[in-house]
Amino acid sequence: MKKIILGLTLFCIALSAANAQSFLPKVPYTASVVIKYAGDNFDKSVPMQKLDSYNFIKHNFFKMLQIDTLTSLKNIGVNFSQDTYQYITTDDSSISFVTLLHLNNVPQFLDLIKGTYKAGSGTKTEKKEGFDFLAVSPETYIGWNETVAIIVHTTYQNKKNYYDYLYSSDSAKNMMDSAAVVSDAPKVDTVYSIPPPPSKDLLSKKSATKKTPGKTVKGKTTATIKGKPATKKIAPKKKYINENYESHIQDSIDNLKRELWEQQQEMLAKKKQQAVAEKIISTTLSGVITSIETDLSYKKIIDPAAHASIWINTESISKQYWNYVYRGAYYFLHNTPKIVKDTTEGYKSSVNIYFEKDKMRMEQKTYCADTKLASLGNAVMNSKQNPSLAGYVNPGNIGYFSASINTEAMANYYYSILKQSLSNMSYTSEYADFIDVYIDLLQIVIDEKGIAELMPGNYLFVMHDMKTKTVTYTDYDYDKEFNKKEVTKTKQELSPDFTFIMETKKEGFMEKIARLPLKYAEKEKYNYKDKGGYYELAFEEGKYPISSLYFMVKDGKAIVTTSKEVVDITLKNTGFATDAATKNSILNNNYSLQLSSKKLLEKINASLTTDVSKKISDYLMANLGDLKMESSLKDGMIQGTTTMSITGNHSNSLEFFFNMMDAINNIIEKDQQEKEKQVN
Amino acid sequence: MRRFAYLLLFFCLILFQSCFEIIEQVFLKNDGSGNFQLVLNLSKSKTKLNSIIKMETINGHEVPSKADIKYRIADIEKTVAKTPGLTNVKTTVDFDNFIATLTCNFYKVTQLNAAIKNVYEKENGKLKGVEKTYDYDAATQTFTRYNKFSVKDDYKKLSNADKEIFATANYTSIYKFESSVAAASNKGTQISPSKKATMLQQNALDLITEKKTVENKITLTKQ
Repeated sequence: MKKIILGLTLFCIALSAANAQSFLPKVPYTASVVIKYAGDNFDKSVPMQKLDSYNFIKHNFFKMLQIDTLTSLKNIGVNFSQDTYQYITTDDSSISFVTLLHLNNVPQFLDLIKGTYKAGSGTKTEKKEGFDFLAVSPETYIGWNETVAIIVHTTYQNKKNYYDYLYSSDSAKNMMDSAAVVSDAPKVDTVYSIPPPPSKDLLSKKSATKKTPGKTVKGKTTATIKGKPATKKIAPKKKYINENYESHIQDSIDNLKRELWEQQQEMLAKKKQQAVAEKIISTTLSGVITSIETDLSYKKIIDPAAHASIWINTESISKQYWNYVYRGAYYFLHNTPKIVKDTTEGYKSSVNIYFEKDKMRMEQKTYCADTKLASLGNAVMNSKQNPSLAGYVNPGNIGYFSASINTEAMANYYYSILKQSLSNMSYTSEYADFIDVYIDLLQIVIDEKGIAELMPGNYLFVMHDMKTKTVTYTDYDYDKEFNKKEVTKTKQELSPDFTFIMETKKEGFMEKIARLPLKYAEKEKYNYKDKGGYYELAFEEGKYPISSLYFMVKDGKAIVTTSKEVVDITLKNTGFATDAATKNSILNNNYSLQLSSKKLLEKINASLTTDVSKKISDYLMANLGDLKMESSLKDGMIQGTTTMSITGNHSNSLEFFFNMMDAINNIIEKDQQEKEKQVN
Repeated sequence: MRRFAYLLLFFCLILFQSCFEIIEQVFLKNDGSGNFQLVLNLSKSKTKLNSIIKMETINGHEVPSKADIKYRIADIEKTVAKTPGLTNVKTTVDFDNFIATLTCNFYKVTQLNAAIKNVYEKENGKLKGVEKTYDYDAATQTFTRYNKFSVKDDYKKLSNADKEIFATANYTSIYKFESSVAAASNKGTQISPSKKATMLQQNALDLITEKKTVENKITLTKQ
């Protein structure tokens, strides 16, 4: 949480930078994610004084950073007039999240860091060549000189698993042991006194030996086991006691071994992490870096004029994600995932963010330098929305989402991606030739054209309205003598009114699917009827928020809707009077989305019961505008624009975000204070 | 971050806000025997519950199946039935309206205390003070409803989403007697015109936060 808030704070303060001097040459080309908070314009958008005035910054972030509320963000040692960069990189089997900051007052910055990481294990500053170095935790390290600070949060990924070690071959085990010897001796909190396990001879004579148990060996408790010769014969019936005791001792020894082994691994990981952090800091401050700025994909899709930007190496990120997800499985198989550096020219994506006066605009771009892969990807976008689908967007709708993709191209694209991904994965790379044959076979077996005829790739979802519906419920009325009587009452509930449409060229098949439930309706006790041209699944009145779902297949469209009006207009081959702008957006883009936040909030506001929810809803209604997204193929790249408009009294959309966070924070804080007053 | 999470939660809450009522009814004869009924009425939220019951989890809690719920209620019935002195123990669950009831007869009101304790222990409850919920002193003709345990601290630890569940919930206590009611200690108590019954209706949140209490000492007129 602390890290998230610190990250968010850095984001907030970075947004206030001006007169950018780029850190870009210091960001390595191996980075999988690069985030830039450009300095230009931000000091004008949300000045420092304004940032200082927000309650949530004063009372939450400042508290978290151990700064007193009288301090200004100007006085925390970070030079806000310069750019801030953050990036993720994988080096020496460690994933590192690096923050690059410009400093203008080192003592102030150190106060900030020491306050924030007060609870950290290491607080001693070390002098390195050309910079000071502070290990604030086993994963977090800070290096700085007079002008620059680098924060590295790094995690070693190749930690060994104990059971992997335990069941590995002797040679591997010996290697591990010797590796452990060269490292510092593990720190053990308590002195252990454990005699060697009894020999077989001794065990065979145990019926004639009496043992005096010492303290139990468990975790870090002291253990002493003393044996002394028997003075009298022990009856054989007590043998099980010794066996249990012996097994207990062995368990304790095993646990202790495991604990020591894990301590060793943690120490090794810490050493690796520190080495990686030092290397990153040292290279950034004085080394030669092949920068991401030389990467064509970075230049192509990142706009230097954006107020903030994010660049993502999609493939590399997905590999890191899957390595993380499958870590448990790898350990189960007594193996460890290898960190594989991405050497292929996969997809790179970016989001350029602009905080404009009346809206926040996000420009997304996806680019692939590999022309073969790019053409496969671009072919997916070679599709036009069916004009008849656009007629289902009613005027005054709450929102819609339209998608038009080429299903056949999508299947072909996935075959290539699958081959490429499996060939690059550490466990499957050596079987690349088999995978190639297997996927080719898959391609022969699967009929992409058939799938594309069933689902050509044109879809539309429309949220027409959120109507109120009368539902019944059972309650109790009481007479004068408080005898309760069961009564049926009614109340209004929100009922979504929506339509989902999929284009199909296999009407006959879809019709068969739609008819299928008819046969089983009686047996399974649901109300599904053929209504002549469409099917109706009627729900028991008052039991569900919706009364009926209608299914129909007509004129190359498979439709699922709650709206009888939609059924009727389809039967009559007509449509809604969709406005020209919406129609254009749907027909000229592969993806088009629109959400009227105000209408949605208006509808749900009526069903809110608590004051705090109502107040937040009211605030959002007064300040939040519509959300729009469009995406299509432009200049050989998949490009999209998302805008979120704002209303209310804000200088710009960046200020709106701060104002919104502050307002919501104040509403919640006030509510909590009132509740606490009630409780106490 | 909590604030962003709240924003997300806000949209979840509007979908899952629930409303329920618990009714506790005791009919007490002069000899101390009587009848007990507990009703959990979730009918007002039935459209949401019809959807929720099809889900795996909600607010991070596992959603029990109808079979699970039936099994647990049957288990409670068994535990109550095993309590000495309690007879005619019955439970019902109506999944159309989401109403569950438990009824039983008792010879002494303190036998209900034993049943409550047994059920509570079986469910591995950790609260103290569940030993004594009801008491009836025939000599002074006083019926007492205790509330010795506190859930205030546990409530504070709940997530906002879970807290919201109690915001609109109600708790109703109805006590009926053969004798007339002379007085009730809880100020919110309504006494029927015949003076043979009392009713106390409260918001569950007020009870949890101890702003109000279900504790009541009802004095009956001596015969």
